[in-house]
Amino acid sequence: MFAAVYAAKGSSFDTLVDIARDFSPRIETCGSCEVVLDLAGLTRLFGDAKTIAGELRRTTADRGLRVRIAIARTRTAARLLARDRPGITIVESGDEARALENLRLELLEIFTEPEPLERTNPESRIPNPVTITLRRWGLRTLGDLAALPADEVSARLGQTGVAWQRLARGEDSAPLVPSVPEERFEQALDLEWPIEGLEPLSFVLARLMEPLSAHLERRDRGAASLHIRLHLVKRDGVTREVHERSLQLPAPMRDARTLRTLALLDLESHPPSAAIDRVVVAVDPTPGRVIQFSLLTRPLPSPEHLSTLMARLTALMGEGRCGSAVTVDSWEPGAFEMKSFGPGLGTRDSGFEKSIANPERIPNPEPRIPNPERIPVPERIPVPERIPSLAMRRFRFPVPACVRVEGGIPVRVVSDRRGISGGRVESYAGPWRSSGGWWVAETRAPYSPHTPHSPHTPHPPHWDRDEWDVTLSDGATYRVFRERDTDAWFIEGVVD
Amino acid sequence: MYIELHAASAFSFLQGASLPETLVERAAALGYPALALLDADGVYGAPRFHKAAKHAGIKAIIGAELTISGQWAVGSGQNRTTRSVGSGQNRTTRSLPTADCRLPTKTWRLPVLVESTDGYRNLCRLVTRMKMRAAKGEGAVALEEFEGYTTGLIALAGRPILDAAHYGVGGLLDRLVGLFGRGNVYVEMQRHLLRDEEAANVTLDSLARAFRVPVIATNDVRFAESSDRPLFDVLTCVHHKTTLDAAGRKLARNAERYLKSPETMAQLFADRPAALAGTVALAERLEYTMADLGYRFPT
Repeated sequence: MFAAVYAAKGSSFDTLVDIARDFSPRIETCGSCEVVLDLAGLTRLFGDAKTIAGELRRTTADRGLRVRIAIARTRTAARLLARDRPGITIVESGDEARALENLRLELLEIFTEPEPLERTNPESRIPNPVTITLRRWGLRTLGDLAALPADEVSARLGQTGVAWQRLARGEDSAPLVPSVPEERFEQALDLEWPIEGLEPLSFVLARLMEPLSAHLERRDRGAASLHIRLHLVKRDGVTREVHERSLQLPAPMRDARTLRTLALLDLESHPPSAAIDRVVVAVDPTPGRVIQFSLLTRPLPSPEHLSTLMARLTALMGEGRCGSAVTVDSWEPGAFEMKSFGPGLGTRDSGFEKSIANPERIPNPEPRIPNPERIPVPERIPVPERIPSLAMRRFRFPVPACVRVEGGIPVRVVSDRRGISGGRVESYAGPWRSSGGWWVAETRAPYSPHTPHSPHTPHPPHWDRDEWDVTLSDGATYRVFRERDTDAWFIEGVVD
Repeated sequence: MYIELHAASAFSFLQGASLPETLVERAAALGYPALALLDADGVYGAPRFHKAAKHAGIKAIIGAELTISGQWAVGSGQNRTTRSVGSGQNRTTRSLPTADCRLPTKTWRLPVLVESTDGYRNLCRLVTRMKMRAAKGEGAVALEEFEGYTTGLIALAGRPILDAAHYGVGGLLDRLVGLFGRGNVYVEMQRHLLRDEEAANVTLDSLARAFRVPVIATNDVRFAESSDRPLFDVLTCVHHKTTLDAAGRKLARNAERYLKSPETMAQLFADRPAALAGTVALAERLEYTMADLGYRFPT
């Protein structure tokens, strides 16, 4: 026997699920308002179906829920009856078809619609195409559909029609799939007296991490991220606040010592502002790592060691100053940001290496020649020759330069930076204009020899500049640019 | 001398930042004798543009930027296999895409200018056909649909023809020449002071010489003055449903898509005087204005 419990609009679904779990370990949630309970074996615990239904209704009413309850031999029949009839409905075994025969045909849409019919606007709801077809046939109730010959329904509607007819007869198409409650990986400890400093906290963290790690190991899970919540109490003993930190781990891990070290290193960078009287540690679980070593690839340090190292470096250098540089979606010249260091991702199997290793994979640079019958033979189609690869070494901070301009074109570049001799401009290309970030209110600190751009100053938020590629008389090719708002010139890099 | 033949107004919804009157006012101040308005997939701004141009004493050239479908998705309605009743044989019929077709997988823009009344009629028919079968803002016209509707229209082939991998290098220009006729296709060259643009211009120039198609200079104007660039960026963000901070490379690289003076354009294209002169020659050829609409009330 199955019991379907359908909660009225505005009821708490979580409460409904909690109540259902108190009654039966095997429950299935259907949408966001309905729960089906497997009542097998409950008669010895509660009594007959009527007693169970009464107990369910009393418990839900005590928790402030208004529900409809239906008990039947099949889940399908129980759900349909719970949707249609208020209060408690109990159908004896074998009477399902008779109990369902007068129900509206549209009720079958609960098996296809994610939301209940009562909760969707009837005017905006689009009827199911099968329902439309059945109503065109003159069918109004589930009994009408159930009475049709199955082979005729199959011939006209296919397997969908057969499935709908089975539902109309109250037959289940699949067994109950129990909903598993979400398992939480969290440990908390209330301290008898507040502690200050990270050293005593490390012992507390060790005590919390051990059972958490064991829990993860039992479930064959690893921690994808680590959350630490410290409840602080100020010196006045009244004011309280919560200090929260979250760490994204580079790989699933469950080693208690590593997790504790990572948490401590992060708290070193972001220490709590008051004494701690409660510590909560939680992790987001993820499937454990499966490591397949290879004879052909170089072994990498374990994620535990690597993340510990990166955490130490971050504590030393500061947030956002460790990791791998990646380009960002911006036209700003030289813009980049730091992401967490992850070796082995996109380095060994990158498309670049593949193309080098397999020259035949490089697309044919020859252009397709148009059909000579339709068009005249072109005088000269540009055939890209093998372009020598150029690389520009960008100076970490642009080098201030003195540039003489004649007719809007740079003719001489001089810099006092060692290694840049400067000289007359032999050839040039440009200008290439770039501007953006105009909406940033922060004013830009101009580059100049007198006010050097500090390495610790954030990158200028907005820019407006003209770039030139110039080959000087010393034979070197540089990229120089002029800031249009300050008319200052800089050397951005040198072409190797 | 130079005449701007590729300008879009705010009637190119969220893809232009200046009203037609503002563009005309700026063009008159810069001494333009004529200006062409090419809004996206329509001629919505043409009446106001014409009225303002008439008041300012400059010639209002009409056109549009048509969204062209790159290729049709597999299973579209372009090719249909039907069974002839009675004959029992399969035959493949080719028909224009209909409303039940899937949308094209990739689109590009083809600017077209109206030369005559026939051209205006054809342009309106193409736009109507595109709009009737797709949701708002999602329509596209296939190149095949231009067959028979290119009289009086001038096509401007720009950088998109280099990106049309489906047709191969130069294949799309070949296709346009086949559709519009060699005398009605111009290769447009633009200089917005972008590093990659010049390489594309070299390729366009080579293609134009190969296909014996004239080259003209345009600026793909999106706003009247460079100070309007912030508004254009904000409209771009609205178009892409994003914020200025998150828009990234969806925004313009610089503020060069404004209506530049003929002198500025002459400096930019100092090495290509023929491209500048070509705009004047083409503008003289484009005789149609909205005054020639010739609307007759139904009787």
